[in-house]
Amino acid sequence: MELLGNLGINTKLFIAQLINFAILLFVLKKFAYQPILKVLDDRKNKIEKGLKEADEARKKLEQITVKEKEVLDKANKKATKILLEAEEKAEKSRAEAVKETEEKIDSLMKKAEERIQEKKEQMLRDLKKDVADLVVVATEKVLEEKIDENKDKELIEKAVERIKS
Amino acid sequence: MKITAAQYAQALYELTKDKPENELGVVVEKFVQDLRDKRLLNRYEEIIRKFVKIYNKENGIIEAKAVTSRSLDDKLVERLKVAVKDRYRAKDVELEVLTDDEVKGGVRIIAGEEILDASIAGRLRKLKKTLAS
Repeated sequence: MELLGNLGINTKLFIAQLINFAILLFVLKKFAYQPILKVLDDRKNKIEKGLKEADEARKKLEQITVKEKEVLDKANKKATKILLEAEEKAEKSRAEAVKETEEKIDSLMKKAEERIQEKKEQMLRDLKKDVADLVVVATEKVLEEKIDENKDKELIEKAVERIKS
Repeated sequence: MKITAAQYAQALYELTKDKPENELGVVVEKFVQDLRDKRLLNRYEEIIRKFVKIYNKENGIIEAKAVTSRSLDDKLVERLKVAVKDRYRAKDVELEVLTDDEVKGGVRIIAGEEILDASIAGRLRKLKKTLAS
């Protein structure tokens, strides 16, 4: 006490100030510090919760993005496959149509050629027949004049020899 | 069962083939009576035609026709008969000579299923066929 007095400190005042401080500390702790801590704590929790939720949301978003990407990839692949199939189908039916047309053209050409050949042959046959008719008629006329009774007899005698053999 | 003309002709041939000439009249008369009883006289001609065919076949006789554009003298007809007889190795030939302008010369002989065409018309036909083919 003396020492405090030597230092120029009023002991009583010092004690009173200590008590004041203690009371202030108590009051502060009781009525201000605790609620502030609580508010801070709550806020911290809220922020942590918010951060956690944000993280979860980000993860979810990432997951969704990945899924979306997968779906898009899948859809892309499917679309590509459908397109390829459609192209193949179209190509196939085009090739079939071309083949069918070619076959039809070939068949028509063949038929036309056959018809032309047939006509040609018919014309040739008709021509030959006409020539044959003309030759026979001419020969007949010549023979009518040339074959008299004696010649006819000669022909029959020759026939007799031929019949025997 | 209906009896055909060919069967009657065959029966007539069997009845007459070994009979002497003096019995033939009786056999034929009985045959005709039988036809009359059966009301078959309307088929008499057909039966006789078939009988002649059977008779000729059994006796090696050939029926033939010679078609010419002019009538032939007997000598030539005889030569034709001999030629046909030799060709078919027949005992005899019944040759009917017909005239037809269509043959235009030469002769066409028809013996059974065979036609021996040595006529001008036949040669012209062949010529026409050859030229047209």
